[in-house]
Amino acid sequence: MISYIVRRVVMAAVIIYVVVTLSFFMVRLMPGNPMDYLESQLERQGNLTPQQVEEKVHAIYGLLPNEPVWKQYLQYMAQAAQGNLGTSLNDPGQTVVHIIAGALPWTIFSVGVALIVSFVIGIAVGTVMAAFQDRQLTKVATLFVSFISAIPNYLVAIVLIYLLADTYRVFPTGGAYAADVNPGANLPFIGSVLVHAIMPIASYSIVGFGGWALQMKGSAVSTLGSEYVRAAEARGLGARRITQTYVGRNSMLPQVTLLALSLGFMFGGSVFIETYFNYPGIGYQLINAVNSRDYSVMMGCFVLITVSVVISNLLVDLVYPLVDPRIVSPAGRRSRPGARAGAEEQNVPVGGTVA
Amino acid sequence: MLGTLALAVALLLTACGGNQSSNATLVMASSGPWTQWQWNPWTTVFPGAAGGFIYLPLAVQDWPNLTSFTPMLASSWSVQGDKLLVKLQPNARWQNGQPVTSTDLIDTLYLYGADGAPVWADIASVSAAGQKEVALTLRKGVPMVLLENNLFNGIIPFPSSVWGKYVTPSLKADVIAYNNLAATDPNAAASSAANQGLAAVFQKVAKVAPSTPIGDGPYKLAGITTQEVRLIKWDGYYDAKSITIPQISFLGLAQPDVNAQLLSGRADFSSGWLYMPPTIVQRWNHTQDAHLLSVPGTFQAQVIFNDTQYPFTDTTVRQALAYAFPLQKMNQLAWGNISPHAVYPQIPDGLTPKVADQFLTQSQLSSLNTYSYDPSKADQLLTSAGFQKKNGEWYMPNGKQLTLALSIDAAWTDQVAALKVAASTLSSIGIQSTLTTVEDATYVQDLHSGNFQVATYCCAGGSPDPLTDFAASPMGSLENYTTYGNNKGQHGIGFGPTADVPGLGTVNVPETLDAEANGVGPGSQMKDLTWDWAKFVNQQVPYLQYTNFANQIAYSTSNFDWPKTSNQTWVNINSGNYAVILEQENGSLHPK
Repeated sequence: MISYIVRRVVMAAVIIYVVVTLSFFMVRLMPGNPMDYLESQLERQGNLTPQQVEEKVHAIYGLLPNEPVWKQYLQYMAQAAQGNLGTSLNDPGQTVVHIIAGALPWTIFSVGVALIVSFVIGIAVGTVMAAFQDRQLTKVATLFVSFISAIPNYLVAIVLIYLLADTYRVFPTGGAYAADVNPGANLPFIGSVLVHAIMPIASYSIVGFGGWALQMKGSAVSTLGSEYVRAAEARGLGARRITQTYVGRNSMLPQVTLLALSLGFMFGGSVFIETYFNYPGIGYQLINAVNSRDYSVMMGCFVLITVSVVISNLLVDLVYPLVDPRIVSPAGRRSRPGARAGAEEQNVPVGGTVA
Repeated sequence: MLGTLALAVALLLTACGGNQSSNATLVMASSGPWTQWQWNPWTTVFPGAAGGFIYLPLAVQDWPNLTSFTPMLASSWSVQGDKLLVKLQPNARWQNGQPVTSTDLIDTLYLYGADGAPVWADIASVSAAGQKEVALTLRKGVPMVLLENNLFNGIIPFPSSVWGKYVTPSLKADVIAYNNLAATDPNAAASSAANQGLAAVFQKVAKVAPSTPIGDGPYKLAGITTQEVRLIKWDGYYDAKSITIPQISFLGLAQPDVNAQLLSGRADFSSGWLYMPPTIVQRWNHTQDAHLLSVPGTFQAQVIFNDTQYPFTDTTVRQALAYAFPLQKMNQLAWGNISPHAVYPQIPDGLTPKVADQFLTQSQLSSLNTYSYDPSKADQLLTSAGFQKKNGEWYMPNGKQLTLALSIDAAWTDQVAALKVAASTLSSIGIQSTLTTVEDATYVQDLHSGNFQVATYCCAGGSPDPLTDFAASPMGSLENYTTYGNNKGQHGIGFGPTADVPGLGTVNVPETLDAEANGVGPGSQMKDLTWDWAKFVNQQVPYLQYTNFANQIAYSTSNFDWPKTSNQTWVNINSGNYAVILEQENGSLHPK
């Protein structure tokens, strides 16, 4: 068990190191640079001679690192290991950690709530569809859910903005809260945060629940056909116990695994929605950093996304052996007397036994 | 359960209500979204809402007049010998209660000096002439009007209570030393110890992060989010009795969202880089209480040719292409005819009409070539350059087919439409053309590195000073053999750098333009030089000016009374923020 954990942790650390290294060099290989970006902004402001534009760019980007890239890399990695991700190129008064720390709660809140909402609704809908799979309504529902899950969430966002913000003005068009409320533990601020979060959360959830529903339906239908369910029926167990203990929990297991993995992807998946709603989360900061070639903030976001994905995978890897001990020692499983080929693909009954 | 639901609904309704602007809140929609903000004017993330509303400029230029300004924080100014004496509003105070004094302006000027502000190229020194009066001593040989332009257009004072601690004796000495040296030897100045000292101070100042702005304008900050700055009237403003709008909601949005806010009635006003496509203009004009102005603007867009690649090195070919680009059609299809965002330049002379009309005579203008779309003229010129037309396609003298790869920044969606028209028209007359859109962040670098054939350049101009406009064109030093930064020495964009300019002879184009922009004030010499460069642009076609942008100004009279559309203010005031303040003070803008 210990060697399994060590292997997983080392692998996670190596993955993070490799991805951060690749990101560092790829970011700097991107065409364009912050100086060109600022130069074009200043030109658009007008009334400046070329010398004046140059001097302003020089004054501002005298802050740019000008050492060889490999030196910058070593410096970056040394600082990053100590939790220092540098300062923003566009706003030298802000550390990247500060920017990320400011953006993180918004993404965790909106994507986290959306994930839970879509998960709960999706599981419920999927279970119902599996339980009544032969009914006409289920076929229609399956078609509808398949359609919904195929729509990109940013399209849903556009429709919501058009209908509920522009046309009917039920919700604000963007931002995380109104400018005229005082951020803090007060009712107007909390209310404003909730109102501003509804459309982003709805955009994620409307699309997201379809996927969960289809996966749940597939998983439940598969479980319903399992031998241990038929055995339980043969043993005369009640329908309620079979549904809850044998079917429900076993169908849920892969969904919970996927939910844990989804948590890791929440930061990278928020770019479009946060951009459309001017919602100041990680995705919003990332896309703006990319557009303005703010290398420091870009790297900070990439590091966060990488680490969150790797850690969520690691957590799943570490928790899974508790659920299925065979993962830790597959050799033992293979040598178990009477083991059948392909048995590892079966779901393990939780609260029951393989009959 | 029902009680909880009711509470949640009430909470949401309260929050919704809190976000709705009351009739007394002026909602300004600006097409300049921000991600980060910092109440530090020496960063790139200083909010655009601050200028005018929170911080007062000294004066506002009566565009396009180079010598006329409307006083704001500077109540008056006068010239005494080589000194410009600027008097500050006697009752002006900062929002922390301290008076605005000459120290604030002087400290600000020194900090601008660390930022490379052009005003220091005009002055030798600055000193207090009283508690509320500042004397700026002109550098020898610099016209006073250039100082006025750089001072009043570029300087907004900030409080010494926040920034004064960074203005040390060594900073003052470095600013003077650097600029004295730069006046005679810019290269030596760039590598001087004084410049290193300035850079060190600037880097320190750029990292300052004040928690809130302490302004001297008519509004103070109520709150800021990623898309809104909320401002409330400040009663300590010296002219507070004239300010009738109690709140301003300044929205920073992507351009399509600005139009959506206007059309949905959420926004009352938008100006600056407002872009309403023709279809939106139609909808807006059919909206109740909606008004739209199209004021001749300060910027132009150009088609540029890669000066290092044949056949664009041939003047005759560039002239032929100028005839082959359907400029009028491009403008009409992209921007329409009714209060458009951009208009067709009748004379491609490198200047916007308002500037050209001030510095060129009608007879001069009428002697220039209009390059109206004329395929037969293009045919004649191409033939005279040795090109041949076979089976309806043009071939170069070396036997290869003449093809044009047009490039444009993908972010300039309105111009993409114009260039599509150009590509199809050029192809229809035998010049096979394709259009490629390039990502915004990459586009400038592509141009500098010469990775293009024919491209669009946006946006040159922006000044009522014609020589500054020419210097800011692709011929200027920022693009033409740049001397600084990643693109140093590159010649993707540009022309020359030496060329035979009518009236000037063979000169280094970027260097000459820089010297003239920094050293020549309004007068006969400026007119002569303007004429020289206008002829050069028109005859040599170093670039083809294909559109002149206009300031679209949209406002609704549903909740506010505005100046009439015929009011000269709309023409003179080039900034929406300043217009809102000045029109309130004039009594022509107020809530209904």
